[in-house]
Amino acid sequence: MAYTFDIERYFREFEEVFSEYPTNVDKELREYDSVYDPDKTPYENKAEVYRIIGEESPLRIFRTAPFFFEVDTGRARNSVTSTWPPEPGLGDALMSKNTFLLERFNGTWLPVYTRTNIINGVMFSDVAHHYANVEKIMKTGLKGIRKEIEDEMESEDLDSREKAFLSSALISVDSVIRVAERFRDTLKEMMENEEDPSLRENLRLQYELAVNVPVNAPKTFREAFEVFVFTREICNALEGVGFAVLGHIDRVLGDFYRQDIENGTLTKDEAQELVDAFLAITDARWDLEQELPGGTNASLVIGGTDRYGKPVFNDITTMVIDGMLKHRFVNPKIQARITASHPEEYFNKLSELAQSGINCLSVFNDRVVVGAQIKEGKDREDANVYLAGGCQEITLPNEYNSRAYVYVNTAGLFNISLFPEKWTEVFQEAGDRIYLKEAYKKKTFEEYYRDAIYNFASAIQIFVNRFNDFNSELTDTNPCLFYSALSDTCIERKMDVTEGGMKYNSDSFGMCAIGTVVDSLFAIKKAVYEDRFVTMKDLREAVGNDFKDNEVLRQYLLNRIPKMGQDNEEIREFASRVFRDVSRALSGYPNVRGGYFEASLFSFYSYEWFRNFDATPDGRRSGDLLTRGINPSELSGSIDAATLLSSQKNIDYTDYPGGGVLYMDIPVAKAKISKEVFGSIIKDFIEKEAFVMDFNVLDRETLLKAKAEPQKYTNISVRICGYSALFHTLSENMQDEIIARTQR
Amino acid sequence: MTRGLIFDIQHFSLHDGPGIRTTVFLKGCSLNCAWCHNPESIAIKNSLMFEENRCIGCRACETVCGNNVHFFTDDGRHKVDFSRCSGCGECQKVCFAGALKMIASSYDTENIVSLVLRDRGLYEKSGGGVTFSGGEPLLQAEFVSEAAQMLKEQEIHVAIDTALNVPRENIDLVMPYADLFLCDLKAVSEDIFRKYIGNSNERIMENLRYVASKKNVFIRTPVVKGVNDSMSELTKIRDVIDGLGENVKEVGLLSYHDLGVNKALKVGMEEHRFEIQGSGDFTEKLELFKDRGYRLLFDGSEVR
Repeated sequence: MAYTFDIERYFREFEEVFSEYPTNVDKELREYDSVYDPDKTPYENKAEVYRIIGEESPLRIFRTAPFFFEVDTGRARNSVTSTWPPEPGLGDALMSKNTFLLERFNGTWLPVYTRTNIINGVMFSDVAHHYANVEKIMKTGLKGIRKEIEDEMESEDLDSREKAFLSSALISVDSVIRVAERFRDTLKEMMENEEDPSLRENLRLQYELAVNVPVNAPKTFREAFEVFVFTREICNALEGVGFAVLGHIDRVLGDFYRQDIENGTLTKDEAQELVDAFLAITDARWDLEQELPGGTNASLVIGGTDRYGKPVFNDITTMVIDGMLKHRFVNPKIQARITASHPEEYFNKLSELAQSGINCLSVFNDRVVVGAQIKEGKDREDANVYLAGGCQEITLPNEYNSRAYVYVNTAGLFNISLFPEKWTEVFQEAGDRIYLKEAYKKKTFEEYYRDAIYNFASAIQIFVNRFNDFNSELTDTNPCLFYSALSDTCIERKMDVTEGGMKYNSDSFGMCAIGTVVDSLFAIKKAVYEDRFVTMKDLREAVGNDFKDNEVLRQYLLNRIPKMGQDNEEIREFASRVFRDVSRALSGYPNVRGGYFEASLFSFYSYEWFRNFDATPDGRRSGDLLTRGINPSELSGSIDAATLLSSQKNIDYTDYPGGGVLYMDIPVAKAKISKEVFGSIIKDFIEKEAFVMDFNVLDRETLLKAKAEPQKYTNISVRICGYSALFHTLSENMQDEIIARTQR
Repeated sequence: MTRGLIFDIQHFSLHDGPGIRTTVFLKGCSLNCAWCHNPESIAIKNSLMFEENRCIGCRACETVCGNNVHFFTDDGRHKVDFSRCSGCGECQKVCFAGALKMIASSYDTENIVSLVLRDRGLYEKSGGGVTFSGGEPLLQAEFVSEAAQMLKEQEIHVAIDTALNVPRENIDLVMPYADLFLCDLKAVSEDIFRKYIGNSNERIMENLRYVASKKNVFIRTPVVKGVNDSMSELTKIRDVIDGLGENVKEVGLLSYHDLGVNKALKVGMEEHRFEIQGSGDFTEKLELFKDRGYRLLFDGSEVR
């Protein structure tokens, strides 16, 4: 008998379990206290966490589901990550012992930059946007990984640190094997005692899987799917960091699916039921009625290519899209990778998903995303299988990426060139010495510009040093040995992921408001240096004074100076230059894991968080929003979809391996927009060589009604900035911001 | 190179013909519909538009205007005496806030073609193109004809959104380069025309038959309560459409909205506000037009 996805029972059962989260793990934490030894290595101390989880943490088995995956380690129901302060549960147990570093990080220097709206972040490293390399288990099972570690332990020239690393990694794998064995035994027992025939059948199917995987390599589609689901969930439960990326489902499961369809052991309908049940996990687990700043992070990659660049598009791709369309889940985010070689059918399916208004879709332009990774020095085969998530953070399967953990106000770091005296003091207050050039005294714009780029780069270097300083101690707070064991290189290198064990070790600051930067620099160029409409002295005074009593100048800057995105060749070329120079100033600094800082314009919701930053020369007052993602400013007028796409021309996003998001808000009125229109937008986006686009289809009237009568409109999901949420759960401020986007 | 007076260029336009389009709005109209949603477009001569909510009270306009068009009340409110305005545009130059704008700008055909070609990729992918609308675009038929010819040379789909109250030769100028006509059919009865549109219907009907005999046509009928919304008038409209033959590919009924009322105030005009009807009021009316060989739309959505 095959599995049937009974959505109502499924959600009911998940609710029963997860409404009890976080469960009390005081007993386990006390046990951890008794074995924790500050004199031991952090590896060994983390190994104790794995051991306790492996032996003791309760298993939550869902009789309505086709997979087993949930180990209750005390983590919160709505949790993507460990952050500051550490979250409840065993995953963060070691981190809770080592809060000194985070305290120091959040101590004296950061609040200065937070207060002045230059930096927003509470962690010094990325704890949310990781991917556990499931393909390694697919190849060898946990047994194979165990053997790899044991073989490595036999080498004779290991030092004590390496020995501690390997033996702890082995404990992590053994603990997961122990969890799997407990699942197997518990499933058998539950199956035997279950009276409801359909639930008994589900338990039997799960038990069948547990007999083989994840200990051994999967042989069938269902076993491979089990490994796909289990690996990510166990990592979330164990590691105290978030594994936002569910994986590249159609690429990883495609061959298993084909094989089982061919040998007649699987039908298409059965596979669809499994896909639907898998897609439902995030929504069923989370309490979506709570306000979720940042959303669930869960991201599923489809399409794209294999390692050798061959496009991936198969029945699984279609099933994922059909499952989302049928059930209208809010999560996971669908990260659709596109190449020009994909069949028309793929574009049609994606257009349907975009049109549906579920607002779960991001579209990635492979040519640019892969190109950017290669330009950064990564191997093409690795870049070809990139993934992306929480929002749209790029990672390779063999990369420890540290992105989207801190946001930096780019516009702020260009304003410092107008007021170097003031900002030198700010940096000083934070304990940082910065030498800022007095750009505003320069006779020509070229000189001003050079100084401004220099000042920007100087500030970035200070932040790089700051973050490197803290990252050099990251392993002390939370090594991730099971995550490391899943990588292709950590065991061989005998290094944890947190200390550079992965093949690639990228870092990036999420740079916010590039549009405001372009417009502000261009305003200085035109109004001060070329048209001489205003003197530098008067401009500084007006900007410094938030344009109080200077509304005429502000209106001139807003409405008479061309803005990025407008049909004006000069601003187009200028924007392209600023993008290039900003990227250079951001790139190439080494981090402590042997990787480099990469340029990124990934800015999440920081255009709102930084809104109280001082006025900027583009006519923006303090309190006005900065620009979103890589979008042009909408201060002086709304921007339609065609103009938005056109604004992407001539900008080389391969300079930004960390990416930048184009937010494509499509207001719909009474009339529905055809699928073909969405298809055209997707294709044009690819042609314009942009990076990633986030769809948001919004009906203004419905949103206004939903705001007034939330209880009547509980099913509207909207895209905030890289994540989706139910509209009625948003704060009033955020609801208003979303509604404002519909006035185009 | 011919020049045209254009009051708006709307990119990513989805309801003025097939696919993704750019709509170019030409100033000047030969009708005077009481419900006009673009009242600022009616006058053939360029004139001033005032958006009071954008005014920052800098009073720069007052100093440059030689005709005392602009004055300020004791409480600082900016008032505009449109009757004194010569349309010189001096005030627009000093109004950085954009409260004062000349409604239209003059473009030559090369300008306009290069502007709309920006979105060529979107037209090609979506089966879209460029629509000339208004006002009445065929009042500037030479300009439209020249621009349309240039677009046809670039293989861009061209639509003309017209009320057809123009001399036949204006239509003929454009005909070779137009792929599609979006024709208004506001009413059939002569008394409605005279009362609410200020004109006779005769020439329009002749032109409609002429255009429909030569090119594909989409018919668009604004339905205004108390004007043309009776079943008898709509039946007449339906029957006229039936007589136009197979080139009628689409018929769209549009419910009245009152955006024109406020726009009229900004250009010193007054417009009557008609009653807005809910979509439920259209169920019976739409039945009249169903299953007659063309695609039927209501407010841009297909009706089946």
